[in-house]
Amino acid sequence: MVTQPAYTQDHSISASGGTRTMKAYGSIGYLDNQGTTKGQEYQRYTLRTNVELNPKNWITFGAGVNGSWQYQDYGQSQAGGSTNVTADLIAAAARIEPYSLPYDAEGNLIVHPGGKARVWNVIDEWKYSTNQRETLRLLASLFTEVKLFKGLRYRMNFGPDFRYYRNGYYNDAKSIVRELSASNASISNTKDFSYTIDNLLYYDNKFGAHTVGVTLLQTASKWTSESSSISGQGIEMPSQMWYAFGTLTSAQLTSWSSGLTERQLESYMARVNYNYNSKYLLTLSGRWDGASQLAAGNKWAFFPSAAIAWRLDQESFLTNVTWLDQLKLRLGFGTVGNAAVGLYSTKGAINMVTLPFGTSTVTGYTLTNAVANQELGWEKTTQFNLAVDFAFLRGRVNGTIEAYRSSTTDLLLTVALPSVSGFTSTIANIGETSNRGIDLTINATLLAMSDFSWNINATAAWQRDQIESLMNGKEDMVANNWFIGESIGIIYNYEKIGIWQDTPQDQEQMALFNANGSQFAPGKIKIRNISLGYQVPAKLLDRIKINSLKVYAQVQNAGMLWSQIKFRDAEYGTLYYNRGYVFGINVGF
Amino acid sequence: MNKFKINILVLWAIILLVSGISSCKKDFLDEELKTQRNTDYFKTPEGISDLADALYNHYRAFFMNREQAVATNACGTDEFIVGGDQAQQTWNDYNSNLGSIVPNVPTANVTKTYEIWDMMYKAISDANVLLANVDEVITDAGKNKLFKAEASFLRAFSYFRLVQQYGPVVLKLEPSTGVERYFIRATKEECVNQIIADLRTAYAGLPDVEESEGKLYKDVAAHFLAKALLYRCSEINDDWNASYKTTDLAEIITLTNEVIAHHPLATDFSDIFAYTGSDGPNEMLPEVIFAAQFSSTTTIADVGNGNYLHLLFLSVYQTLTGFVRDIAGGREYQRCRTNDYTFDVFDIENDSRFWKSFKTKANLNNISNLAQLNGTDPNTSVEVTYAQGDLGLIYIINKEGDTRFSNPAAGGTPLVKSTHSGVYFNNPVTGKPTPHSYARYLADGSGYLRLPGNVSRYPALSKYLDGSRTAVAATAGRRDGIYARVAETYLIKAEALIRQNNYTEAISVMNIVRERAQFRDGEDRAAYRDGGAAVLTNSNAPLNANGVLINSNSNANSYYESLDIPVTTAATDITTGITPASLPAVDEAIITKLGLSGDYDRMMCFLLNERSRELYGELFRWEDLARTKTLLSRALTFNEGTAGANAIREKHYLRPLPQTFLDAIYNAEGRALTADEKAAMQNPGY
Repeated sequence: MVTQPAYTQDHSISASGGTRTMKAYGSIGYLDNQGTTKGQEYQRYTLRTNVELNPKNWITFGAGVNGSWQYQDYGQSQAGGSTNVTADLIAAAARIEPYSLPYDAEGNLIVHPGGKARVWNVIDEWKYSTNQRETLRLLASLFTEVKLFKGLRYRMNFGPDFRYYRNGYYNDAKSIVRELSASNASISNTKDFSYTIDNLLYYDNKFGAHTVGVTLLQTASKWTSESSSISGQGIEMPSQMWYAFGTLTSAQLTSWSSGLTERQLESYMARVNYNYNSKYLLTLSGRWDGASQLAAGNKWAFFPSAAIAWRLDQESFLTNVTWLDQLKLRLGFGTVGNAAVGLYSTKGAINMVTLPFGTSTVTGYTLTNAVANQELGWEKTTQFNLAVDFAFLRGRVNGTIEAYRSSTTDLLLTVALPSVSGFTSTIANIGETSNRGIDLTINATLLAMSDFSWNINATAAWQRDQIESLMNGKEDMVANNWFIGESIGIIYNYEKIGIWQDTPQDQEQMALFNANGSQFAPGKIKIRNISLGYQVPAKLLDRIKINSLKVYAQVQNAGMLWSQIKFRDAEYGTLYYNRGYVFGINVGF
Repeated sequence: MNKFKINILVLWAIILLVSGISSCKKDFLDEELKTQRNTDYFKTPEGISDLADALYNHYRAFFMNREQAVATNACGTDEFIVGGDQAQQTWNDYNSNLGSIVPNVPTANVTKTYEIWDMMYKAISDANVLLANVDEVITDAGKNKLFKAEASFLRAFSYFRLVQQYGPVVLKLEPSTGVERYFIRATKEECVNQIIADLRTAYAGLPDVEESEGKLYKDVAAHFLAKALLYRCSEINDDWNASYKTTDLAEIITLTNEVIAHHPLATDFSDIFAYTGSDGPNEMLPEVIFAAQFSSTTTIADVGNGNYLHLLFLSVYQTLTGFVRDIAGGREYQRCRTNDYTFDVFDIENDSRFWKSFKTKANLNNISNLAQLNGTDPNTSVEVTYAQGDLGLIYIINKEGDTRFSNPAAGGTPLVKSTHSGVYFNNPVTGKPTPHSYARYLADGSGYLRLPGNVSRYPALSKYLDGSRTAVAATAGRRDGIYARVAETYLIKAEALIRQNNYTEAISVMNIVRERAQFRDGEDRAAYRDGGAAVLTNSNAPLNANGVLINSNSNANSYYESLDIPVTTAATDITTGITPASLPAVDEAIITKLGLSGDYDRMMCFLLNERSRELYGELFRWEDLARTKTLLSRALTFNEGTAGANAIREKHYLRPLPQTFLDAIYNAEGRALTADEKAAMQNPGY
């Protein structure tokens, strides 16, 4: 009743070309995705262009624009309804009892079929309820690079990013979300603009066997976001939706708001790359970063890093080992920072309250629940890294083993405070955590014949993180669920004994639980994805002057292969399958 | 070469220009909060004035913040037992779940121990900020005194509630500007003395008359000062209050006399609760001394911002055939159920307060299933049909020995149809049986109303019904929340007199309240008004398919049907003939049940009963019983839930300190508390 078979189209065209002094690339794309629930759809247009100009050999200009326009109809909206209305039409439809009547004797819609307060009549609901979202995104990047004199280059990057987002919802008076009373609508607009300016200076030179590269960078970024929204009820004509708020009286407006947030980041960096004979490599760098959302006096911090590498395969004692193609040993350390805290959290905002005295209204201000921390600074993570890159047998096997240890200090965390102080939380730099692990990656080509090949890519990782210390040294902070020696996301609860197995004892237990409405069953198998592709051979294509042609088909979320419970998607836990079939063609000219 | 150099210079110029654009300004990283004010505002005169206004929001929080007001003050007493929804069973039964962490059993609606704690300390923190800054900022002596008085009152009021619930608490008198974690509990004496000192500051600084509706004035401070002094004299503080008693009791009499002089009692008890709309006449009565303000202004009256109490006392009517939930009848959360004590503590024939506090009749309002009630009456063989507005639900509070009703389930007088419920009751006025009738006593002497199957059927407390809400499901009520009215002031004075052993004088004071409670000459005893009637002027109230207002509110009670006496309009008298040795019959019965003897205990029982009769369900009961140390005996006798597997015990005179507090504080050395230290800080027994 609420679903439909849906078609998706995805097309794109791209072209590139150039001359001696100019290179250009452009592409446009279109995506149209109909939803499997009635009333839902999604469309997207994308545009990409890149131009690079090289009028003289010492100067290059480049500009690129990446834009997209998206329109999404979410199908229905429950905003403004009672909390009992379910989150999506499919679940609501599944709740309706098959024997209850949708319309009464006069042909009017019954809001609760069967008289149950939590069952809603969703027939035709998508015609009376809608939520439409539009997004326009434009990213541009412009750069200029100038070769000053031997080895010295200057480059400037400028990257603006603009996003406009509009979210409107409308529920008609006939929508069950409104329980057949007045309609409601809302519109919200958000405009985000940000830019980054980089100034870079490069110096590269080779003195005999020594190669040196120096990079200097100064960068500044700013993000600004403005938003506004308004909602109201009692809209007269369905076609007005959220476009005619001027026709409502102030009593019909239910909420309105607007907001502004601004954030800035500034950095300076210096980096030196040195290698001797391409065998011994060294990198040193240092960064100074400043973030506007931290407290005054603590906005800047210094982040150094250094690394050395040794290409063993270039050494004389290894040149005769033919099965060894690459062996590189690297050791490095670096510090990075994190300043991801809520904006304005060091400013000590207070709350406005509106209250009545008899028939008149008064506004006042009170404290909020969070106390501002005037010492808020950067969180720093320092990591040590030791790795070996290897490749054997003419590249048939290659991989990396890496061991790392990192420790984070001055973690930015929300701390719970006793309510007696009047405040229940604050954000502070407290404690230390550490993380260590080993990663292993291997890529191997097992078979490489003329028309059949088999590659294996394998990764393995082991990792352990733990809290080293908190606000007061090595002491647990139970109120926040932080325990020394355990990881941050630890679960503080009853210990679970195990998972249901297919044994008679467990089956008995399961029967007891299932009698109460649980869904335990030992094991289920589900098919996630089947795909098939065919690459048309080049000889056929030559005749039609096409460079490459590939045809493919896919089934996604095919269904359960074996399960005791037939109607439920065990992986996502939903009552329905979003089964999809995809057909495609890739053509290259 | 020259050209090359010029090119270089030009390029460097461009570089520097561009860098200048980007950010070499010193203040690029400055953050400015443009959309809100910050704490510096409180160092300005406008800020202090705004803070003083905002302090009043804390009085509203008690009524707004869901169920904590009822769970901690009405549940677990003699006045109410657990209703059909057992969400607050933990607080009613004092079972093992009532500890420093209250688990979400049976539902997540159960009030937690930290709710009152956190709410009060938030209020205290705002009051402290004002008191700390007012001297430097406000130079006008008059305003300075007023703001100090308002903040002192809020602080004392909040500490008063904290001390009554939790016992000795942390005494915080300075605001926090940063992180503070070291807190210790003060002694009870220090806490109570601080409360009284703050109330005296308030008394001295507040204006003589109420400047605008809801603002504090001298009489409010006087009333609460009298209450606080009475608390100091109460049995729960007997281990340290001996030196204060004489002076305190004398002062209580003076203060209460002052308040009584300014506030006449309303003529009719139901005037106080006959809510017709926000800021209607019942909220402006001189009897009301202080109330937390709620209003119908849309921006203020939305979800989460209204008086929540209208939900919690009601009994279920929407599942009865012929009824649908409506604004007048309210949303039935049925947390607190009336019990036998409710019916026994009133002299229901002569005391009008029972009939004016509880809802005993409701009218049919659901035209879509009314027709199912029609049928042939098996007792009279007459066809009966029902229409909207006919009496649909009646609670008959009859006396033991009434033989009119028999149990339908046990083969008694049959009902008209299976869609009817309860006992068979033929309405003498219309001749039609009332479809849903519930009687207190059956002909065989057994109780019917209190059968386990009738757990959602009881005459509900009607003092909070709100017919002015915007929708049937709306939880935001617009009624003011009454904190103090002069009837209580009389009873405070009476209690002080009893404690001075001046029993005859106490009785004469109580008689003033009782006289108002009598039926007056010419009064229609069956008339009934409650806040649900506000639906008649409510433009948002839904209409049924015929365009008629859906209204289950009845303007009648079941006085004559319950008592089965002829109609009369003569005045009744419940004030004559009361002496300490010969108290009214209903009180003597309760005294016998509780096994009390001795003049003092008997008089105190009489007073506590009178407080029940006058102030039933007005959120004073738990604190009254706890401070007079009568909670155990009264709860065990009248509230069967407290006598369960984990019966109410001595430790329950105080609430447990919340675990969130114990986990977050540090001891003197700056470390978190050990398990032993936490146990030492907690109230005994928890």
